[in-house]
Amino acid sequence: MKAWTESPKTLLALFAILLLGAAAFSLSLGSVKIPAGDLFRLLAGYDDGPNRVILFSLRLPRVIQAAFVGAGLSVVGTFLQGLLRNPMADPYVLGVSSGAAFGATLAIIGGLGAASVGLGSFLAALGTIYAVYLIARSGSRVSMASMLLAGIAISAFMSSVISLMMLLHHDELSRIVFWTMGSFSLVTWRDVLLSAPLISAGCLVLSAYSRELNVIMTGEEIAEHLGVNAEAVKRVVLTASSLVTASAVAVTGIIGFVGLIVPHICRLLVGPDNRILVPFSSLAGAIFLILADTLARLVLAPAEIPTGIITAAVGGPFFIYLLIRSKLKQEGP
Amino acid sequence: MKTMPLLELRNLCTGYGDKIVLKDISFSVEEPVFAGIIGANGSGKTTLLKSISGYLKPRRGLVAVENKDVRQMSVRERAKTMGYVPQDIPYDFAFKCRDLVMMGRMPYLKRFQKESALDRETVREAMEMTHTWHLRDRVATELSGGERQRVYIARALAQNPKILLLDEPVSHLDLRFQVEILSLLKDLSARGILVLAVLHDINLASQFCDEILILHEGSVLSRGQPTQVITYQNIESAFSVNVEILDNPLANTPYIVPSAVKNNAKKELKVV
Repeated sequence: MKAWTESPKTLLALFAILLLGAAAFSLSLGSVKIPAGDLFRLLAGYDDGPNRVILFSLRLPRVIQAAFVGAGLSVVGTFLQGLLRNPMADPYVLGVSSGAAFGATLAIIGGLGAASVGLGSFLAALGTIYAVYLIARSGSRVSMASMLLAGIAISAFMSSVISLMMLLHHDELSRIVFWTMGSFSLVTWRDVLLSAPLISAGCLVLSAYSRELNVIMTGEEIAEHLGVNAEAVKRVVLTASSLVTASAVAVTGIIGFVGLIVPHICRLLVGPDNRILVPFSSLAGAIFLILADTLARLVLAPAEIPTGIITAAVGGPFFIYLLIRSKLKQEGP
Repeated sequence: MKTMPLLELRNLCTGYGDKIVLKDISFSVEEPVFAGIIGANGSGKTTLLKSISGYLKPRRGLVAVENKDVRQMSVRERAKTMGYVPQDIPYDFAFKCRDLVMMGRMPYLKRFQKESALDRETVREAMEMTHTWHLRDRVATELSGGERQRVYIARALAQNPKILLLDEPVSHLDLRFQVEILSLLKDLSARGILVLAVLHDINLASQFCDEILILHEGSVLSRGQPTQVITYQNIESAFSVNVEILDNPLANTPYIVPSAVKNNAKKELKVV
């Protein structure tokens, strides 16, 4: 592990290769298997076989979307864990997920089309986090602890409203539940083209603030004494994070645990310095979500299960393992 | 020619909400000395430090460093002028000590600008001065309290400050580290940095500081050399404790021994 941290570039290259491998793996597997040789011929455009449609219209957008969502949620998780100085923080901690679910539920019940479900969840997610921000703000400073509490309170309230709407609209129950569990099954090129630029832009802005976040992680007040305008950094980070998360959620629903565990694992591998951590998190998140989505397609094939079930099923036990490990570390052997 | 004061406070009033914590504080320091701030809990010591650093906005009056109002400076400019070591620094994340100290170069670095040889050299000097260079590759979470405190002082020094502000830098440390850090602070003042530290132990303050400022209910009760300031009248009014003043034979500084809680303070307690 020491050799890795001393040459993060080697590890980064390894992760990039793993990402390509995971993508190829996911593209070739499914109800129709595409052997590796065919896959490369298809991608290079030398093959016009029937698999071409499956690859280009169904699997490729899905894999690309999974990569962007995984990377985006992981980078946001990295930043929010640092900003809140709380290892339990994830992209949804400030109420984005419940806001998005609320918007999606409204759109589904309203009988609006699939596109408006995405739009509704996107707008409601942004609206919710802005409300949380306004509640937590006092004067010119925003307390992150208040934001955390306001996020929990708003989430609880939204959840109750969503439950009520679900009770009153039995017929749409399964659609709403399916959406809240997160899935890539309906992803099209249009979704990719809409969300990928927003996710990329948000992540680029975040990564530009890596050094500032490092300083804020050692204390907000001390950050100001080190020349970092903590309040301005917080506003930028919260805005960019919300944009990334809302874009991801709008396309795929709520996929949990990625933004929680990927930053954790990467921090164990390369340490807390965000300038190194952010590229790692984005690659690891992309790999993780591509593999999770592949599993979601294969486990009950030809039927599909929501990807959020896989990430939670893998992420939950893994998180418990991390907790036990850190507990053992604190108590000593 | 009138000398330009290094640090000047003019009628400084600071408060939170309805509560006024600092009441009309004025003083100036011309020379880089090691000055200790003492006073009872709630007398406004931390608020005074944060007002000087420019973190808190004064209600009235101003703080000036070399005739420049600190609130008129940008956050970066302030960080180049003053280093601040708070009482409790979170260390939840396992940053390497060298990276922590490098954060002190933050005010000098533009976004995306790489650390230069000068930055690395400054970090090395700051760590050598605080005897932490051997800890450079260790992570802060593994250090003892005294080591960690020295690393954070090194970070403040890497800012290349004219003034170093410290909030109770030795409160959680054992005697050896207390003496080590206070000697270090004295050295730093000899190297031309004005050191202002909130201290709890009056006897250590009396022994190590060139100057002592007693804060009482948000006002300066007394300020000057330890021998002038550490008198039983001053200590009794600031801390509501009766004391005997002895002579510290090593440093020829006043040494206090508390005898009893002051009578009228006892009465107040009974009334409550």
